[in-house]
Amino acid sequence: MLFNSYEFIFIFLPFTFFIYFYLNKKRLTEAAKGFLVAASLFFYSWWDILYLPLILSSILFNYILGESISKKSEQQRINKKLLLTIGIVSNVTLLGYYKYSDFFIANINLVTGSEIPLLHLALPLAISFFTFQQIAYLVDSYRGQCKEYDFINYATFVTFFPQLIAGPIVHHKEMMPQFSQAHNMIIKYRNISMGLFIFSIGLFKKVVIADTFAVWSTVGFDKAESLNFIEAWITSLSFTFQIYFDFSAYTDMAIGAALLFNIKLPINFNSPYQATSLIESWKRWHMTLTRFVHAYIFTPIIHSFEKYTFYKGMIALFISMVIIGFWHGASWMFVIFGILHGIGIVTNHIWKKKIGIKLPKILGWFLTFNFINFSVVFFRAKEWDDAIKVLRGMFDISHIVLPASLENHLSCLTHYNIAFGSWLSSIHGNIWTIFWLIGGFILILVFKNTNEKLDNFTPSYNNMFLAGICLIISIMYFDKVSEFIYFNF
Amino acid sequence: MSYKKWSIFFLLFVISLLVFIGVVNYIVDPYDDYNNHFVNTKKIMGVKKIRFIKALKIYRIKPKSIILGNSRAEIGLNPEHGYLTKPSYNMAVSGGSMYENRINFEWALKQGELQQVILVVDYDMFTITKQKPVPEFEKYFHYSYIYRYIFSFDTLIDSFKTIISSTDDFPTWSEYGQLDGGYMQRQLTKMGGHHAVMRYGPPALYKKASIGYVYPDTGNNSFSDFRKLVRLCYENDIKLDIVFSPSHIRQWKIMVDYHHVNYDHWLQWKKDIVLTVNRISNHYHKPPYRVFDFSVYHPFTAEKVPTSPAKKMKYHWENIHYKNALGLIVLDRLNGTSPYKDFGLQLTISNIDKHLREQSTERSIYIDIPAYN
Repeated sequence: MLFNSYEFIFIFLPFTFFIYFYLNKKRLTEAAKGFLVAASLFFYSWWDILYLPLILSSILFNYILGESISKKSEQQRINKKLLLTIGIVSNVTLLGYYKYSDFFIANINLVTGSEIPLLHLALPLAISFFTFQQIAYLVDSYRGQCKEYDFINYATFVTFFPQLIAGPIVHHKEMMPQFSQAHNMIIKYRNISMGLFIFSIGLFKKVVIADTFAVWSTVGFDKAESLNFIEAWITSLSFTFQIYFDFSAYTDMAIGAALLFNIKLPINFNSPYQATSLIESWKRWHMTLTRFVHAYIFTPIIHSFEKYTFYKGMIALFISMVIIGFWHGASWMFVIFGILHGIGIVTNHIWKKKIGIKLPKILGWFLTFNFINFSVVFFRAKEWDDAIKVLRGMFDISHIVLPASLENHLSCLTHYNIAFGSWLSSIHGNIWTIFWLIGGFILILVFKNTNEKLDNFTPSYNNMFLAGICLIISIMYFDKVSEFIYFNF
Repeated sequence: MSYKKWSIFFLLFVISLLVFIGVVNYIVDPYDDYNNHFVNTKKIMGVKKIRFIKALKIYRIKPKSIILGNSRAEIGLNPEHGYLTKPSYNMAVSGGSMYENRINFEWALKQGELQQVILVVDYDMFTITKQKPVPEFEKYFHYSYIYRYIFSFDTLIDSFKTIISSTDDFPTWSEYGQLDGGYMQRQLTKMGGHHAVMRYGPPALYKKASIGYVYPDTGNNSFSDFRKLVRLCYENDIKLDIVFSPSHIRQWKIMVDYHHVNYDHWLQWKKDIVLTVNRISNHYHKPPYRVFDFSVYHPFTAEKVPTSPAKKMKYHWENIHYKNALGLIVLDRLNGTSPYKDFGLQLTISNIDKHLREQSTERSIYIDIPAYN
């Protein structure tokens, strides 16, 4: 079920909210949690019920394994390690089987000339997210950092519908206690108003802003045969804005929907496009993924070294970034994206540590933003040729086309190989595209992000009308339904 | 302001405004979703949702006979002709593929009253670039879909357009699904008359049409949709007529310039249709359905194209689309009541090869006549 759908807004969300708190009011707290799990699984199965057994078995398997690991004493360390290894390998295998099988088969076929048939497996929804969350649970069980919880608590932690499909990647330590606290089982109007506020803003970001940028990026990447200089820049910038507004919108809606149930999800975005370095950017972008990779990939790699050195740290960092890239999808394009960011972030660290010259903030922002804008071309492109098409256009200053209406005023520019005519036709753009991009820059650079707005939230008619208008306009766009980009990962 | 007051006011504000929008859209009903005619009975904005509207009409009318095909059939064939069992409906859609037509047919069949189908086949239906031009096409066949637009911004705008616009600006359809010729005439006049329009030739998208009966966007086989439709007709005792639409002969001259295919491919496609119908009929031990070819060299299809913008052709709009007058002759011929027995040949496996050879010969005669260039 999509957040941006009638069935979610008008049926699922109100129905789940009222039943959950009704059961809690009747002091049927376990039944309320059970209902929340059932509702979340219904939400998950709305796309395809075939995935339901998969997520259920994954939850059951990891819960039993986590419990077994927790109960082993320190003397049974070998057994604990064996169980943890089994757990991690099983989860990674499951993810690998569904997500990466065809990628590996296709590459084996390419290298060896064999003709192993592709499996064409449908990627189960949210598998990347619930796999990561459960690996974290197993590792922390091994480290003795998990308290014992019953199955229903664990199932609520994994399946809680606001974060189930595309994160934030929550940690059991920040979630499971919240489901047990008695004061979270009563209706709190403070949380309801804040939840409705941030949900409405998020919905607007997705339905109106992200989906508008999606039109130009989709045409530019997938349909245009070639792009002139301006079209290519608009294509890449449109995607840069689209992915931010799309994914941060999902997070806003997840945080908002969770707040209705008195559950606080971690923030996932903190104005990443205001970052003045790549290091800072990754601390502000998909923060829960960065946190996971740091705790469960980067740190174990570091610990595997006999002695830590700066350069060994950089190797671990590079590997972590490539894994982040590959986590997003089974394609060499994502690997290239990961490698680029690995190189970028290592360079950033070396610059900081070994050279130590601090760049002016504006220059730092300019370099960081452009690095992101170039690298997402590989993130978005389905094929190598599409990426090259966009990048070639971005560097091809011999192919600049300006609007025909400017020809009379700027005809002198024709001496510099600048043409006049259909300047945005290949991406179905017009002058409004430029205004949208300017608006996008203003929003990401000048305005407070939704987390900051939430922190300073006090009820007023102004923010009520703002959120109300955002929600109404968004609902009026529901007939142009589109899924969230991160559903694909 | 308390948090409780904020929450309640917020919900009241949102709900009341949405209800207002919903009521406006429901009363004006710009796409004729709700069968409301309080405001402006001409639902001129229906053009934006015509595929859905036609599916909805099928649900409401539950026709005993339907016409399937693409824009040629949609413009040219009047479902109120006596040959069609009533109630009847023209379910042909502009740019419709075989896939869309097969799904539309299944939808009509599901209504439980269907007895008769005229399937007007066109080569483009088998090779069109998109298997379905609307991504959510299959959702049209759920009745609840009519509420999808109820709060829509576009619907609200279209509600205002419905109230204020003149009907001349948009195409309209008859109650039984035939596209109104008046709109075609206005477009033709705007573009400079028959001769001027015919110089354009077919739309550019035809250049991307595939060969080998596959939809280029999905790689799916269009003939499998055709076969399934014919099989379903046999299994449900539906009276099916398969018709090759008439075109102006200029269409066959320029075909080679716009398609990957040549004229022989096109003739082979006709033969494949006939052979397929015959094969399926053998499987069901029933006589083959009638296959009529009106895309032939004949005085009707070789009508002279006037160079004066003011002059109107009797039978054709341009190369591809034919007028209601020619459509009536086609339907009369199917009905066995036409005086023009030489127009439209029933094809069988016995006469198909001879017929196609004759058409090739005719083409070589007509192709160099300046009047048709």
